[in-house]
Amino acid sequence: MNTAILQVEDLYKDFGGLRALSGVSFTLEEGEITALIGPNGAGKTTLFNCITGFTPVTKGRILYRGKDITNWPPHKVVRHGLARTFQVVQILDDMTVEENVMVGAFLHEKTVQGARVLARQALKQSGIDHYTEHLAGSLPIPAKKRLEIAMALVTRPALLMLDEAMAGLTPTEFRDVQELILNLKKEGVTLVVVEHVMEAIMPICDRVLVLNLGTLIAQGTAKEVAENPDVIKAYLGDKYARNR
Amino acid sequence: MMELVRHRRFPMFVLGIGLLIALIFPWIVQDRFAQNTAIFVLMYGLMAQAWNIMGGYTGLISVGQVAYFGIGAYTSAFLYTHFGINPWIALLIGGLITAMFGVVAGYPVSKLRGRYFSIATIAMAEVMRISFSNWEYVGAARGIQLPIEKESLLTFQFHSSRLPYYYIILFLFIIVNLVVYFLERSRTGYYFRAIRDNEEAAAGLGINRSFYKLLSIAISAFFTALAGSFLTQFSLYVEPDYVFASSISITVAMVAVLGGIGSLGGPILGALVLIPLSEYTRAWLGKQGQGLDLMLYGALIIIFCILEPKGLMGLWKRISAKKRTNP
Repeated sequence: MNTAILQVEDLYKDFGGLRALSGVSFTLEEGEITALIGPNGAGKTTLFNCITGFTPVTKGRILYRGKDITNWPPHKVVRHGLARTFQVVQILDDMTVEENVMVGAFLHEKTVQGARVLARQALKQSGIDHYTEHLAGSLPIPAKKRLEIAMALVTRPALLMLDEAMAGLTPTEFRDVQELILNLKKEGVTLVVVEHVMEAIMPICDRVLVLNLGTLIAQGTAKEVAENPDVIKAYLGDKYARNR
Repeated sequence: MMELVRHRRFPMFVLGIGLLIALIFPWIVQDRFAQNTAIFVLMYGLMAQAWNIMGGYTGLISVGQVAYFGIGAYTSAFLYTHFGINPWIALLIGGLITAMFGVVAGYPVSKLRGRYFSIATIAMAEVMRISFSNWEYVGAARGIQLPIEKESLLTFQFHSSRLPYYYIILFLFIIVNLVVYFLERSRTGYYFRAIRDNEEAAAGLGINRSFYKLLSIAISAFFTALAGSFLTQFSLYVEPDYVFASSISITVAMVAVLGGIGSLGGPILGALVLIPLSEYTRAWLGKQGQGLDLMLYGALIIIFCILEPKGLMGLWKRISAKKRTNP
């Protein structure tokens, strides 16, 4: 029953003379959790930005449910059901938590009252409904990350891309996020998760993509990837790869 | 420190009382200078509220509002003198043409952010002033003189009394405030504020940034142009150095900022305090021609900014918060 929700074909991204992505191709299956990992500077965030329209693509194609969405503006990408969060939280600092989520809810609900109802649901789902009336900019970091997830959820994504949603969280806090991710999967949302905390993401993902220096060096199940010599080399250096 | 947000809005009964006072004001105060000042309070209040739509809600800080003001003033003067179009219709057409100008000129400029946008608005206003100064078809530096007509509501000219002008500008002022009131409570208003707070997040939530930025510029330009058209009828002439004076842009931005941006009450309070301050210091100290009035006016603004950086609305909130804690 697996069908592709996202196909990335031979994607290149150059920043001036720097090649950030080089011939990246992969396919995401509907309903799966995919972990996107790689050392710092591997191009994970750039890949997110290219897919969601925040950075123009140099070469290659991105197909979402068979539709070519390459270089679509971000607001159009969201409307088609592809939402994301950011590595550095991007929220509306001078608006309340509820208002932040309402802005996203307006995608499906034109009235303020209606948007408020949807916002309250999303806040509850992400477990930050006790902050409703607080100014978003004044929240602690873990709550801001939760808020960002709520903002993405309220747009009703079919594909949700989380960029380091668990970085900087305590083990208890990231267990909550893990649970949230698994619940979303149950509801049929496809997820791509960029994460540095391996113990947080490895147990819950169906597939892993490994990016290094702009190239996809491995993909497969968590176990396959962890044993892949190229991956070990990228993370720990030549010496460890040879010793194994 | 986490901040809880409540009582963010200006209480409506205050606005109601204010409206009542505004309606009977010229019957209580007969002094001509005071009535003139009241007209300017409303005119700058109208423009500052229009500025607030762009600057306060959408975060597009303009220091070139006079471009819209001047184009509005010129359009209605031109339509009236050349084509005999009724001033009321000319006022509306002036507003619409200016809104279109706002969109066309704003399209490349709205891609700029923060201070770069502000600098571009200054340039835009100067280009307009210089263009109109050299455009022979609209009278170049001489401007346009409006013929004196019989006084009536239809001709938009009143010679025996200032009252009709006062009520007309009050009417326009109320309309812009109603627009902001409903904007604050609509999806569009939320979208404007989202763009102001964080463009990336706004785009990520499905907001077409260019469209909503241009929409806010268009609304702002429309109402600023109405103020310009009003001035045309009020003074019966337009000339580039008068209706494209950069001091107008600065005053408008200052009224809004000093009052407190991003709220309905801010520009109203700002205009109520700043315009009489400027008019009366000028009347008392301006005669020597040494700019003493401007020095005093400037000093008061500096003192105020140091003491209350969030504007008069900030002061209002502090006072009402205090009242709540010790009743």
